[in-house]
Formats: sequence, structure tokens, C-alpha cells
Amino acid sequence: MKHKSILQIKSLEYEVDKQKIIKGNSFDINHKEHQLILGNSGSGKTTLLNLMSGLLKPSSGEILFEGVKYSTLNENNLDSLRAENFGFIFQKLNLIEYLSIKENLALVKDKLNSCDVEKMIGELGLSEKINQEVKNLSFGEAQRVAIARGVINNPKVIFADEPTSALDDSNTEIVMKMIFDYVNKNNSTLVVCTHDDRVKKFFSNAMVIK
Amino acid sequence: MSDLNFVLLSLKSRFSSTILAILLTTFGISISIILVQFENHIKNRLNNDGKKIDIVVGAKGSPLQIVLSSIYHIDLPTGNIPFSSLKTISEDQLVEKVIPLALGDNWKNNRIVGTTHEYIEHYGAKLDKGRNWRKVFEVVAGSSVKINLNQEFSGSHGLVDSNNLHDHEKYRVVGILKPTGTVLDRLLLTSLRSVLQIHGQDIKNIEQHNHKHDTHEHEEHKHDKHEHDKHEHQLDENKHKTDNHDHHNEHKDNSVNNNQSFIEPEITSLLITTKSPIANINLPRSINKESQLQAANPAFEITRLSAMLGLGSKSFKLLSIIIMLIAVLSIFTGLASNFENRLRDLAILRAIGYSKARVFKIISLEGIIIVIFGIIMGLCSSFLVFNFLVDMIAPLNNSNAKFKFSIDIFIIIFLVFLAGLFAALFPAYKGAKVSVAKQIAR
Repeated sequence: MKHKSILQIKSLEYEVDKQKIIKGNSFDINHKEHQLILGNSGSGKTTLLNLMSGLLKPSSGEILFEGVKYSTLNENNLDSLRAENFGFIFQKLNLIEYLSIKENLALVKDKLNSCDVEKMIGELGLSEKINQEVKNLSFGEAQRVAIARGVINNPKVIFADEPTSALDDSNTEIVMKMIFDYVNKNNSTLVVCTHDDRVKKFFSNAMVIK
Repeated sequence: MSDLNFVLLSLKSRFSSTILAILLTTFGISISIILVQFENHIKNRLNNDGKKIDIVVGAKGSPLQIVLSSIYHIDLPTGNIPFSSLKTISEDQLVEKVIPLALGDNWKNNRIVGTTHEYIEHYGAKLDKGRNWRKVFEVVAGSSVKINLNQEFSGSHGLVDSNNLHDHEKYRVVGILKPTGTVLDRLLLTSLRSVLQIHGQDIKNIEQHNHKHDTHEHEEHKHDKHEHDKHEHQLDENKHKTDNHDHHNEHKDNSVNNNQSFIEPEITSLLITTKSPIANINLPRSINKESQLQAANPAFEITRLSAMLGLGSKSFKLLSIIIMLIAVLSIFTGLASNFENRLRDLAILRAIGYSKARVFKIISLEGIIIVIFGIIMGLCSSFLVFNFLVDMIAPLNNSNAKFKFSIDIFIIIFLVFLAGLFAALFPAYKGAKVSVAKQIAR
């Protein structure tokens, strides 16, 4: 039976050196929902994103994905859950620089069809640079590759951390449009953490953390 | 993308350190394998060539020199011994078999050895072409002597090639032996009489002499000769060693002056098989004490030689171990170099769903690939370098040194593989434990 909420966050707390970074947050994110999490720098947005995606373990509280508690999963199961269901768009892109565009995208899934990868690169307008190492791309091109890597696996949830923080207005528009195109096409759930108010207009749901 | 593809791309991105690690591994393996090849070759040759030869009897001098010159044919003889010693020693109750050898000449650096058919039988050699010698100046060639059946040649003076030929008599090849893996392969074998006759001596003389002279005269002659030999050895041992052939003639001339009617033929040495191990101790003792001859125990001399050379061999072993350690360290540094930057890449892999075990496997695989390339290149280069050295170094070439796969090579490969894997373990462990959230936020 399909669970109503894809992600459930219950009394989530995270502390480092006895300092609480996440203070008892609770909320649900539904299937296909586009959730914006707004907050100033240092408010714990990225930490919350890492907790939701299973990259960090909470100090207390619980996170559930489609009704399954993270705390019941061992590390391997959590890795598999991440590989099969989540896509990431990082603030610092985090592409592997010595790999080409095609190789960076092919990292996501072993049995990813080569045609899918090439098609995606075509959609990015980077067909001519398909075998070029990403370190030789412009920031804009690299960002497109990073977005493509986050969505190429048709994940159920896409986590984006400050996807527009380094962009001007027009590029913010382009990037957000690109993300929404993929999200809508694949019926994915989108969770974006940012301090950038410019992206508010793209979301009907915004949650502010302090 | 498969893990192997990722690993190859990762290694390619660190091309210089990868190549350095592979080359150091190659170097370490090559040196170790070449050392093992030489050691095994020497050990096998020493064992095969010295098989069932318990005692070697030659002229007074270095026992090791007698063994090296008469069994292994790699040194000059200490001098000559009277032909009559063959009969005397053969009659000893402790002796099972005696093979006489007469050296002095060579053909293109292949020694011409005057001996009996027993010498061929001793090494179990079989004829590949032709027949055994029957007449004087008929020769049977070892398998690696570059000579044809029925070819005629003149021997040259001494044991190394020279222009000083015995061109008054020609040898003819009547047989060629099959390869034996022993010293026989590089010798030209003929009858004792051929070698003696080419130097103006004949075994017949001793028979005639025995008939003509009474016991007293004979004893006197032996005494004279003994005194002469002793004197000559003391005066000029070096000359004696470097030009045995000249000594042969000088001695002959002096003998002629002392006793115009008799020239006792001389041979170089006797290879003896005894009847019991105790004879190996007693017989040399009695020979050395009671005669002008020198008896040497090959097993003892070779052990002494190995102990002397062992120091060099140990130094090489130590050197190869050091090189292997450097290779292992280079694998470690190759994997650990720029590790902080690599940790970010590994964190990306972990974030997109790669398990810790998979990241551990990827880094270990990098170490394994470096080691495998090093092993393959090490094997190839050791084979090429060994064959090059065999071509370049005459004693190795002469002794038919061949690259052989032995258990030692597999042990070296296994140990290097293990060491490479071990060198990769720490970076692999550290890589697998990477803090994903921390690294991707950097």
C-alpha cells in the first residue's frame, strides 16, 4: 500500500558538541510535493537536508521514507535506499572533475542505458562536449551536468541544496525551470533548501527554519 | 559505469604517481626474479655437474680450483699429474670408479677434454648424431658446441681461444650428444690418447718404460720428478695457473733432460666415485698425505664457495627486499596522495548510493591493478633482462642458463600481491569511512 507521505520527519534533533542545530522539527512531505525550506546561513538547512536523505544520523527523533523508519535500516540498506530513490543537486556541484560529462552521469547507476545518458546530455545542449572532462566546463555548463546527475535516475525525491546561490537572476530562472521540468516530467518530489528568496515564486509550499 | 572503469579512470587521473608505483613494483619484482633465476641456475648446475663425483684428484694447489676446473670447467687446472696415478688410485679398495681427464686445449672456447667413454656414461648422455670416438683425434661434441658432424678442426693452446693452433693434427667430429643440462653440453670429448699425443706424449711409453726399467730406477725417477714438481710449484705458481699448457711442455722438457729414455705421460685430473661416504673423508686424507697429488672433496669445496658467495647473494636479496618495500610504499603513497581531494570524490560516490564496502573495494582495486601491472611488467622485464644477461655474460651463456618458472617465482608474485593489497588497505579503510556530509559541504 502506498503511503500518503513520502517523507515523515518526527521530533528531529541534531546536535554537535552539545549544541543543537536541529531543534525538534516535525513535518511531512507528500508524494510529488515541491517543498521549499528557507532559512538564513547557519540555520541548519543543509544539515536538515542531509538528515532527510540519510547522509547524517539524527541525535534523536525519527525520519520515515514511505513509512519505513531510517533507524530500522542498516547502513547498506540506507545506501540502497539512497541509490534507488534519491537524487542530489549540491550547492558546490560536487562533480568528479577528472571524469567526462558522460562518465559523471554514468556513475549514478551501473546499468544506466548509454542512450539515456546521451539523450540527457543532448537535452542539456552539451552533446559536443559529451567526452570532455567537467573541470574544463564553464560553471553554467557544470551546473547543468550536476542537475542532470540528480535527476537522471528518475528518483522519487530530489534534494537540492542552494541550487541558485551563485547565479544571477536570469540563470536562476533557467536553473529552476530546468529542475521543475525534470521533476514534473518524472513526477518526483522536490525538496529545496535555500536562503535565496528569488526561488520562493516557484513554490506553493515554503517552510522557514531559524 | 563499472567499478573497474571508474578505477582505471581514477588511476589515469593520477598518471605520474600510478606509473611510478607500477615501475617500482616492476623493478622490485624483476630484481627478485632474476636473483632467483641465477640462484636456481647455479644450484642446478652445481648439483647436475657434480653428481656422484665424490673426490677430484689433481696437482697440488687450491682444492677449489681443482674442483672448478675439473668438474665445472670454469677455472684453470692447478697443474698435471702422472698418468700412473690413474692405475694407483683405481686399485684402491675404497674407489668404485675413476674417470681421467686431460685438459689443455680448446676450440672456440669449448674445452677439448681427453677422457674415457665412462665420462659420457657418468652423465647419462646419449648420442644425438653419429657415434662415439674409436680412434685417436675423433671427437664427440656436446649439444651446445656450435660444430657439425664430420667437421675437422685444430685445437688451440690453452683453455681460452687463441691463435696458437695445434695445426699438425686435426680433430674430426664423429658424434654429437643430446642436451644433458650438464657441463658435457659445452665440451668436446675425445680419447685421452688424442690429447696426450697432440702434446707429444703417448700412453704406450709408460707401458714400454715399465718393461725396460727395474723398480729402483723407477723409484728414482719418481723422486726426481717429485722434487722437480715441488720446486716448480713453489717458484712459479701463478705462471703454472695461467698457462698450464706451457707448464705441460716445460715439464716434459725437464723430464726429457732427466731421463732421455722415458717421458711419463701426464693428465690433468681424476674424477672419483667412492664406495662409501666414509671413503670421501679417508681417501683424500691418504692421497694428500702420501703423494704429490691433491685430493679435493667437491661437496666441501662447493659449500665453502657458496658460503663465500652467500654474502653477496644475501646483499642482493636485501636490496630486492628494500626495493619491494619501496614499491609497496609507492603503492601506498600513490593511493594516499592527494587523499583529501579524493575523499570528496569518494563522498560523492557515497552520497549517490555507493556502499562503504563498494568504496573500500574501489580503492583496494586500485592497489590490486597497480600490483597486477607491476607483476606482469616485472615478469616480462625479468625474462628479457635475464636473457640479455645470459647473452652478454659468457659463463651464463656457456652453461646454458635458461629462464625457468619455479615455485620461487610464484611465491614472489604472491608476496608482492599480498604486500600491494596490504598497502591499499589503509587508504581503502579511510576512504570507506569518509564523512559524506562533511566532505560534500567542503
